[in-house]
Amino acid sequence: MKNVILSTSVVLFGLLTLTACSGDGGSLTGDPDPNGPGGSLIPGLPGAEAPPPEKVCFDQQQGYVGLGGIALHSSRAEALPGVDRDRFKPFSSLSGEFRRALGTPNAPNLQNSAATFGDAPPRFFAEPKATAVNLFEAYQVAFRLCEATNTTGSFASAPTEAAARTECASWERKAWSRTPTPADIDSCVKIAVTDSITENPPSGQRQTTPVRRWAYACATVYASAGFLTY
Amino acid sequence: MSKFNRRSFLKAVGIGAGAAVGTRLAGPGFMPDAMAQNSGAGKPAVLVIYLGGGYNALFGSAASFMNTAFGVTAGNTAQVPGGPLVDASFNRLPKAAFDKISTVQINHRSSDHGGGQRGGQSEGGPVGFAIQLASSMGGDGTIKMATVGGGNVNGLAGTMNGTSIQNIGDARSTIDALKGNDTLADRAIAAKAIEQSQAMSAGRFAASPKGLTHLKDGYDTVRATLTKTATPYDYAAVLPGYGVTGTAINNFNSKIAAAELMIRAGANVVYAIDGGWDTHGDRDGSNVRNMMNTRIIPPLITFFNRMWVNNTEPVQRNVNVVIMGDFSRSLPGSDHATGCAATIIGANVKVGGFQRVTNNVGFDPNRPSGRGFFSLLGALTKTAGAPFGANAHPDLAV
Repeated sequence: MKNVILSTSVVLFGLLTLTACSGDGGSLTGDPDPNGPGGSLIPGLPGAEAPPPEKVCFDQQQGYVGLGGIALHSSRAEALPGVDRDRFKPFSSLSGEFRRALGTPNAPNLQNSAATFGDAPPRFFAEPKATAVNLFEAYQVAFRLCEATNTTGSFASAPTEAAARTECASWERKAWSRTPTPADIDSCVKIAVTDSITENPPSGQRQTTPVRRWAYACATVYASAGFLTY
Repeated sequence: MSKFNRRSFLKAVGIGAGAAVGTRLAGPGFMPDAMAQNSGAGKPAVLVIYLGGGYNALFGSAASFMNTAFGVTAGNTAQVPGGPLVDASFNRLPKAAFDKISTVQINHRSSDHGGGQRGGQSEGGPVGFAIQLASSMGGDGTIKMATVGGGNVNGLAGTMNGTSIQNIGDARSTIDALKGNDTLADRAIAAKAIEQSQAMSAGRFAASPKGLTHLKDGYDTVRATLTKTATPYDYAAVLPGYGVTGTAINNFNSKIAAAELMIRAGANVVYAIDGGWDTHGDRDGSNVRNMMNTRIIPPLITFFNRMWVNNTEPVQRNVNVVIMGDFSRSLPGSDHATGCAATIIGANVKVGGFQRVTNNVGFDPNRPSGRGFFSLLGALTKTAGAPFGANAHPDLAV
């Protein structure tokens, strides 16, 4: 009998808990797909559905009045919900992300790039800050990995428009965890097919090899904010 | 004080300020076509050596404490001709630099670290004065404002006209971007690729207009850097010039080497931040003197020799150096004063306008805080349209 009462109590408690936490998951964000193109949480941007009411935190929060009638909440920062949530990935996760997205678990150690990204020492935290230098480093790292990884099959031949569309779409899906838009694919294809035909390094102009042409396009995807931020 | 005698002799025979001592007299310094000098009319730049924790006034205002505090005596001080009495560690700098040292008060009226830093860097505004200065100085550099080797100072933040702080944690990537490399990505193609990466990123930037400001600026800066014609200067030789092996910026020596690299690459303002200067209890100043002599001065000697005395690059420069910190150290226990006696070294510095602190590390109540200080830097760099108004320290600028 004690067991029955105990079991019933557990079930009832669980139901109450579920009830308290139930509701539309998207009601917190206004968007069922937080990875949607263009950050569709923002009214007016592509992908946004019905524009949410323009409420700022002040409209929804509890106010407190302190001694002398001073509103203690008056200095709180105001912003629209859902805005400015993206952050630059720390190097500790970015290095693993490169391997995951490129499917190269045994890729060369990227630790040489840690200082450029301002990787915090062990047991310390420093909010990563994007700069031109670590952005360029991200492109270089991606280029090296793409060049080392994509060497056979379609990558052995110079990119055609059709092949580039296929590969670019695939890279973008993996890098961003969402389906790319046609414009996104066009940006990548342009580098592979049009912009990378000849190189002009310090030693003089030369024809770009197929593998390096693919690498230029591949690295373009991995140097985008969709991959470098979260 | 044998050096004083030698200086007096040189002055007597007509070797004026700006000429260097010793080997330079017979060296290539007399071949004006081979190298450019540092002059007030040259391409301006500012190197700020920021001592996190504090900067003892014994260095720039030694006379205030003569035989009374911080262990200051005639034996460990040196007289800048026509200027302030300073710590003898500065006497190790090349004469051309030593003769252009002066002292300026930053009276921010705060004795806590955060308040002192903000007072000197932004006075609470959203964009640091250094960024405003770097932006206003113009020039052809694509990275206009840089920190070398990281570090944070309150108030050193924000963006102005596309100028934001770019930290250089490793010089390799920067050199690659400036010069190119046979095996890495081609600069021109990479520039086009970054442009496409930026186009793919438009949605994220729209969703986080503030949070991703630095990344957005980063795309613009990388593109500008990569599309610019590579200069012939041998950037890779800069770090070895300081005895630095490798390209990591992980000590003060390499920070100053990276600062030179960035200035030669066109940066207007560079911050080299050093820690360990919250020197409570350093009543005789021996701790800070030791750090100054062993850590700060040696690479500065190299910097001045390369940038001021023997600049082999055919570019006339006006490189100014600032040494500052959160605040000066107070008496008697080397705690927190309410302002900072900063050191300025530059071709346009009028050393006679130096501003001593009182013998109790007090500041002139009529002196301004950070904005006024940066108005002086605007004058020293001859920055037209500087956003700080008229120079608040006219006695310190030529």
